[in-house]
Amino acid sequence: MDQEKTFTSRERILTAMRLGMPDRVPVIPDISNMIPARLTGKPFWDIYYHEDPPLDEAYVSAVRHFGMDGWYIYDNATMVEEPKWLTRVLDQKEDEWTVQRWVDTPLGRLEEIVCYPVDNPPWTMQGMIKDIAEDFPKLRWFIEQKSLKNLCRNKGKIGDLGIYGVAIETFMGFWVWVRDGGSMQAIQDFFQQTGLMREVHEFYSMFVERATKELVADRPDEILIAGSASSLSLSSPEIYRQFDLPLIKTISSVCKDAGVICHQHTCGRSRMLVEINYNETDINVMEPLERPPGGDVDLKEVKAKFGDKFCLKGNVNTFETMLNGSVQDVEREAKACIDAAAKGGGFILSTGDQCGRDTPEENLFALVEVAKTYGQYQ
Amino acid sequence: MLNHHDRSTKEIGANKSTYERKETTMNGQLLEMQEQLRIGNTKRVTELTQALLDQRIAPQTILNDGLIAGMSVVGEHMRTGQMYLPEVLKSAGAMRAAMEILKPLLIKLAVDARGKIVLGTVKGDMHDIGKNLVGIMLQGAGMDVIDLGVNTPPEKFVEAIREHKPAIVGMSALLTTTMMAMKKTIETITASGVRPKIKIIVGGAAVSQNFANQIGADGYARDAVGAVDKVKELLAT
Repeated sequence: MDQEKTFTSRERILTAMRLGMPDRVPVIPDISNMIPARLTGKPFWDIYYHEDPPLDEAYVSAVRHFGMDGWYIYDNATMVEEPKWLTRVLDQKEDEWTVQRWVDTPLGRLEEIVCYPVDNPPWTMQGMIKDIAEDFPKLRWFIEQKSLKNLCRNKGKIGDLGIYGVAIETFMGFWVWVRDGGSMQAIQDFFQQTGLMREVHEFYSMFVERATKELVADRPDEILIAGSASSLSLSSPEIYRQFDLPLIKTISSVCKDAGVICHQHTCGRSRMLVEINYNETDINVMEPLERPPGGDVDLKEVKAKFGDKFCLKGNVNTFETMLNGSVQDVEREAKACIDAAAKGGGFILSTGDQCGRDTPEENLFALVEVAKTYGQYQ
Repeated sequence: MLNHHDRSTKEIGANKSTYERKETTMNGQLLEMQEQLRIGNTKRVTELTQALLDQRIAPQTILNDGLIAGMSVVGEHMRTGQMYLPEVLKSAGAMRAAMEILKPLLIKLAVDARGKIVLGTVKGDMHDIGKNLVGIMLQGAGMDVIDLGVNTPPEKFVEAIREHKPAIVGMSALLTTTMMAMKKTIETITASGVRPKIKIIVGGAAVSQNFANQIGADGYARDAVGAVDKVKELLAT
């Protein structure tokens, strides 16, 4: 137990992730997206389109603003754009811009149409893979151009304010991201175009293995397996086992051999996945372990069953408590989380997936304060 | 006479037995259809639909006792966590394929859907999983669903109400920022004069019964199965 020493945020988080007990429970509300953008006071397209400031810098400012422990996850090995995509504003309304983004490949143009609202993060109106047989070879060409060197390009930006992680998408996350028609079409592809999906999966698996090996050599604090779309709120145990688990095993095994922490984010229904990962992977950290109604995790139960292997990060409810609750509600639930999962170490106080844009600041401050005043591992 | 009577009795018995056999076969096939629908076996569900039609079973019977009953099992399994979204989508695909066979016959017989619903994710919001799932479950309950898609401006809801004359309008929003677009959509519908003709239900992760009351919606449901119950309740009033 190292509770006499004063820890930096980075040391605090890393100690907890390695199942240790730092000076207090780290506190990392999930505000990786909308809240930093809101705090800039600018139209959201300034941040997401013009990168003025870029979202990662807005996040680091937000970490300072709330006095929280930071979790930098803005470098993404799957989504890195190299060569850079070209863009053109197609339509500019008061409340949203429509932007065409494209890259020309030897096999033809790969393009998507993205909407940039004034007060929300961008969303894809038309995805890049419209026809798998026709468009996937273009995307494969594009991915093959990535050097995979220097993927940790922003290492150092968060400094001691937090940890630096690089994200890799699960297969489901990758497919939902690129597929036109969004998650519903992406899911249907698994049973309507099984043969093609196996080919895409084989290619992506090889890319992931190569990227992970390059990444761990650059020594990020952690590799984040970005698995929102692998949630059982969207996917199924069958798809998870067939398409996601093999990749997760590979990533976590490479991380284990290299001594790099491997962290999986899967929101929504995830209880079954926690158990599968516990038994079959080398993952170190699971989050955000959402409770009902959005999720199905009982923090106390998973601590008792899986806390000897996993650092648990969660799980104050994003909607009921952080967004719509009072400061007292936040304090009550945050203390309950600490009571349920802190004992013995390996716990990080956090929220469910992505706090909404209008989450009251006082609720975020209250969450941080609870960790500082109540967050002991005893 | 006696011989004749005996013969008649025998004939009656034979007919009864044929009828019973036919009914047993039909019931067995309808039960099989429910099960094949649950596991999303499109090929078998369409084969059974055709086989039942070939036996002159009424399309309404196939719809009600096979497809809708099967989707009701799917809804229940989803509610209890025994089925997952991809499996529900497979079941919905099987039902759609069967409906392609049945729909022309139902139209010919002037069999109306159990209700008509216009659905959409409101302006500024692109999240469609919840809305799509509600659509699937409503169709599974025998309702006619007109899906306006995502990022739907209030005026498009009004146009759809005028064009399709639904009994119910359903709106979805995931984001806290776009929840207020529900209020604006209801105000636009009210200002257009079509509000008295319809009931409005709302849903989405950030939406609550309180919020639904505040913006003047007629109903709120927490999930897709709840939405079907709410729609049935509103259709009955």
